Amino acid sequence: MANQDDKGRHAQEFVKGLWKENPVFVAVLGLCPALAVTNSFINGLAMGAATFFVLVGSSLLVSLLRKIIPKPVRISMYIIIIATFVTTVDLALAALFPVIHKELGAFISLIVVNCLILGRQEAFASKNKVGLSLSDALGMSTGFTLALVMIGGIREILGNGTLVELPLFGDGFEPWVIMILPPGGFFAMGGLLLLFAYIKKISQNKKQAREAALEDMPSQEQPWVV
Amino acid sequence: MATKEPTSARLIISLALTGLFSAVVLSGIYSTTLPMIRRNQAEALQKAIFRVLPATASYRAFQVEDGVMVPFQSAAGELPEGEALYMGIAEDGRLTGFAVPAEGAGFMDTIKILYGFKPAEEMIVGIAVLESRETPGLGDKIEKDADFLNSFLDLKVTPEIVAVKKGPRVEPNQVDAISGATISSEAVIKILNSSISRLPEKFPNAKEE
Repeated sequence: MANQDDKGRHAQEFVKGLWKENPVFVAVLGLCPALAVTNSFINGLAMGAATFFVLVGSSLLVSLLRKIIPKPVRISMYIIIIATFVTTVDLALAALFPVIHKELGAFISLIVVNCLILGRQEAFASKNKVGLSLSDALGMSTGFTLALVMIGGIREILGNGTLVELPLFGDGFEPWVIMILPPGGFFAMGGLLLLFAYIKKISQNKKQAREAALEDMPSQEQPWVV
Repeated sequence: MATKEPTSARLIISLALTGLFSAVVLSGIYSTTLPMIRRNQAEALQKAIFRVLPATASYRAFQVEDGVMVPFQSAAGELPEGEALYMGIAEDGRLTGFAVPAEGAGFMDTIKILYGFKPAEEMIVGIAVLESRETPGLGDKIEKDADFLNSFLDLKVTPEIVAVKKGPRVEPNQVDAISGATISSEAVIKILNSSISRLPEKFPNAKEE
């Protein structure tokens, strides 16, 4: 019985990062990389993957050490840990994927100041067991990556006529160049926030309509109501 | 459980240990990735030689020892350590110029550039920014602003290259600084001037060995 609850809890911590508490669209964190390096699907994916590695690694380590990190210096220690992972990613990318390293440029080092990562350490990893912290980190970084590839995909399709560098439209397509420039990041982000707010509103209205319908039903038809 | 206030000693030791551990891990990763990073840098530089010296078909590497250019015998893909110069050779065997790597302090971090130089005409014929970590959107225009990069084509280097902040450039040795990125622009020019002043007196001909 405890195992079932555990699994449920793990799944819950994972799934919340994908939609309900999506770091980019709900918590609105990590906007700097979300706007700066999403000029293409692959760049968004690469930044998401780099952040994934840093967040999962840091959360694991912080959760493992949570009982011995002294409270007064905990933020400094989290930063040292996060910075170590970020530098590792930076060197690894420079060695293995130099093209991506040049594309992402200074923003790889800026992962250190992504509020999402320090935020999860302080809010979750420092207070929960390793297994749960891992689920939380996996969910949050997957949600972050999903957000980045959504923004990157939209910007690349509209601003370059390609997706993953494969041309989608014929020669007649006139790319909307501003989408791959900085303002395009804001447009894409704004559009998606608008879309998600709309979806939320519709589903809230449906929920309210359902609840109102239940209330109107005479009580004999609601055998489950005592 | 009563919460005890951690002692100063505990705080200092915790931070010191974390810092020490981080340093050990990072030095390990640094030395592991260094050969691959060096190889990538060499490849990028070799590709850039063809960009900064127009009409070049092949190049020959030279090492600068005591102000004299000495041919560099290399294994494939290897580049000389220290001061190096690359002689560009066109398809018909003529000299196209010399590609010179140079680096220096930018606004944020070191800027590494490769420029094409014709000693006889005292002119720069091309420039490529190999590495820079300047501010995205501002300083990184030294890599992305086509007008800025093009102003280095056929640029006279005597008496020295001058950055012009106000008004357009007039003399053949002047370059317009990028507004909003004057420090990065001037850094590039400083790097070029410093490199040119240290170039060897004599340049070998294309036919010499």
